[in-house]
Amino acid sequence: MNRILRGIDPGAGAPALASLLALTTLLIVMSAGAAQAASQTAAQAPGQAATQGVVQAPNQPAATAATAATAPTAPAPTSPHDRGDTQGFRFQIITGDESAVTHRIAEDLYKRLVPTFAAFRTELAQKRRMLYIAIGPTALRDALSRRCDCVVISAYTSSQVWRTLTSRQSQAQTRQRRPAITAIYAEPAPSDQMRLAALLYGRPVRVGVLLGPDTAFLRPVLHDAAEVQMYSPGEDLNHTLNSMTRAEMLLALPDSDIYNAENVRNILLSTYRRKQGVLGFSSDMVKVGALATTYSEIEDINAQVAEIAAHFVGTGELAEPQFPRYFRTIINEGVASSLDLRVTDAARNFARRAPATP
Amino acid sequence: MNLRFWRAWGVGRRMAVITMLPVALLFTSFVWYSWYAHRAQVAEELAERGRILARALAETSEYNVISGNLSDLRLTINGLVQSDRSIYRVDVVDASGRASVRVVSESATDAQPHYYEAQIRKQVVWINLFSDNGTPHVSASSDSRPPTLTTEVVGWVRVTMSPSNMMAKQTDRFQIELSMAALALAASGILAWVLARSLIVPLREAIGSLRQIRGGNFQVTPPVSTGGEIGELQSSIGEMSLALGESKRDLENKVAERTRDLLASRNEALRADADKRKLIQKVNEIIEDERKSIAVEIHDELNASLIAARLEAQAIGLLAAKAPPGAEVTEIRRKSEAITKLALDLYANGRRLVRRLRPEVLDMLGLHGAVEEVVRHYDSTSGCRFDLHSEGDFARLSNELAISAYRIVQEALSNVMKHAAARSAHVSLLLDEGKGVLRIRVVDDGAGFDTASASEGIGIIGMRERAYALHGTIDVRSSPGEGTDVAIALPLNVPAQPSLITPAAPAAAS
Repeated sequence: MNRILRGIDPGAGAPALASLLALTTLLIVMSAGAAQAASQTAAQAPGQAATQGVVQAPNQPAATAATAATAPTAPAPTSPHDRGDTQGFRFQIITGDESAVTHRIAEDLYKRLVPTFAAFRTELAQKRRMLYIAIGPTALRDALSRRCDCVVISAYTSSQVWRTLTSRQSQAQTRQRRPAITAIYAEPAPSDQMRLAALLYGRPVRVGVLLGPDTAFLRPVLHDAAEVQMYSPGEDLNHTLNSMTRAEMLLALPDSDIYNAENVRNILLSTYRRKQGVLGFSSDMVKVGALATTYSEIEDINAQVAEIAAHFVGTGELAEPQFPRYFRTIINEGVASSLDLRVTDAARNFARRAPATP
Repeated sequence: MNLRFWRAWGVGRRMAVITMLPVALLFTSFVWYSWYAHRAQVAEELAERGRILARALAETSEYNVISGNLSDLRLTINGLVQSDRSIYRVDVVDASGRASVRVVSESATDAQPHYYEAQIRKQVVWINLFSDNGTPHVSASSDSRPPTLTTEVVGWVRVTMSPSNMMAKQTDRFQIELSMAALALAASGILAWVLARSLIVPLREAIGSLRQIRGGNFQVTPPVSTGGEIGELQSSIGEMSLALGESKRDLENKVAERTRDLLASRNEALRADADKRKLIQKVNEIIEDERKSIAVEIHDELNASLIAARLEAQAIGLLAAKAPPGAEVTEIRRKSEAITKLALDLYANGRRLVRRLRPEVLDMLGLHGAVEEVVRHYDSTSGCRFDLHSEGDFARLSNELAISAYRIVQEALSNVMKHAAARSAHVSLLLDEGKGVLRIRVVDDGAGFDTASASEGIGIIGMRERAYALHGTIDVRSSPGEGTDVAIALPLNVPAQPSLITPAAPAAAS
């Protein structure tokens, strides 16, 4: 990560960057033209790109031009979007911490995005529209704080946190220009989880869901498929769980009011005592006692990000926020046998694989 | 305290002490340690079980305490408490210190004063729960295993243990150990008794045998009933008694032989002694007879001749007186007078010689008179004062005894005169008719002599010989400057000839 930082000019870092604690920005600048222009003028672009395009690798020293070009401090009136003369796109991966996982995500993502944006490298940086990819909630918050004519793809942020942050953003920036934004939620798609539940039991199964205030928006989605039990903070969680008698399984969804470090063990124990399996939302949850879950590897999410980016660059249409498309399944065999479930290979191999990277 | 008190102990007691003392010490220390170890084991086991139980119950009751599902917990704990008799009571206390569950054992009777406590900790699984905390939400597995952390204490489990059940088990074991140890002690005691007895019995037999031997019974052969030193002792005593018997027989034979020899020698000596006495008596008799005959000769012949010669000389004088005076006649008268005087002197000498050779005074005056005469004679003729003291009637004394007594007194007084240079001397004659003894004593205050160093003079030897011949005794006491005391005892009746002892009667000799 230090190598990435070395590529950034501190003077060009912008107040927003400097204000974020321990924020490291992996800055990738691609000279790019407007999406539509790219497709229309593809024939003439290569000539210019060959001479003017800059692909700034994070570990390369020519950072000045790249960072200057990517500085999001451009005043709104001079935005190329307003002038309507933007040509192509460039992208920037925003990270929120320095962990190894983040580093791995960023490096993998960079490799996947470079080919998409390589076509615009001959365009002037100022004329290229910025596409931010935010890794994690902190990075998303950072991305949302930028006032620019830009596009943000949020990844590795749960639907609850995404919704909280974006609703706050929308309230704060109603009168300002907002970046176009979409997301790939971090948690598995409820529909995939439902199918996994059916596979585990070998039949349609009654699934219960606990929803708090922050996840109440999912109620319409789940209403038909699951027994929804509302929970408001301050209530006795055990009591709420006890009242969910008909459900054979509990579908856990990220909600810090319900599934926090204090409660999660209690919830797992309570459901286990009532012979209710828990469909968690991460592999770690399965490891600590949930029955099973579908989950997405970093490569799966990154592939989806790359697909959305490519689609947007290609069509100018930004996809709607969506659940992970590619996933695999993890099952806690010990819990399964305790619950008298015979796990089939169909359940074990339940997955949707991302297409192999070229 | 006398540290050597054991020295007075017998072999059996020593043996018993040597055998039993280590065993008794071992027994005592073993029993003590065993009891201590059992008690310690109970305490340790209770503590360990209490801690483990509290810990385990704390782990299992976390969920129930948090969720408030206490009836389940009570059932669980009750099952545990009623099945384990070493648990007295289990209390579950919540965070506020209020007792949530209390289960008391129905079977346990006593409780330890303290309890074992374990905290009920709320455990938190630390995984990414997709909250807005900065890290990316990754549903795939993280690299490391999610840690489980404890955050807060939600209550306590307190287990009170009951030692009685475990103590009873340990007491049973201890009793078995104790009885085994006591059995071993008893076996050791029996062994010690048998060992001591195996020593005492042969030793007592040996002592009895030795006592018999000491009592003179050499025919003792104690049976060799055992081996080793005791057996050797027994066989040695047997051999010793045989050897002693033999040597005693040898000794007896030798003693008998020597006794025979001795008796023979004694008889010889007695015979020789009797012969000697006879001889001395005979010699004295002969001397006295010879003296008597010499005295008679002097008295009858010489003195008669001297009287005749005096008478002749007187006649010559008378004749001369009748004859005309003249020188020749005067010379003749003077010569006859000289011869008359010479004859008278010779006659007096003859009379004195006769008196010495033949104390006729003895015949005339008896022993007393004779001694008196002698004493008076010495008293008058020397510077020493002599005196005589006599008791008894000496007239019945035999002639022989009287002469010997007289001669002895004569010799003693002669010795006083010759050697003592005494100023006074005292002579006593005592006739003890009751005992039949004549006692003569001559005491002087003269120079004296050392009886041990000085050899006896002829005078004393003569006195001794005379006393010996008459079976009398002589006792001479003297020391230089202290005078001399000579005491002689003469039996009135000469004892019969001592019987000769024949070797056939050795007992009489011993």
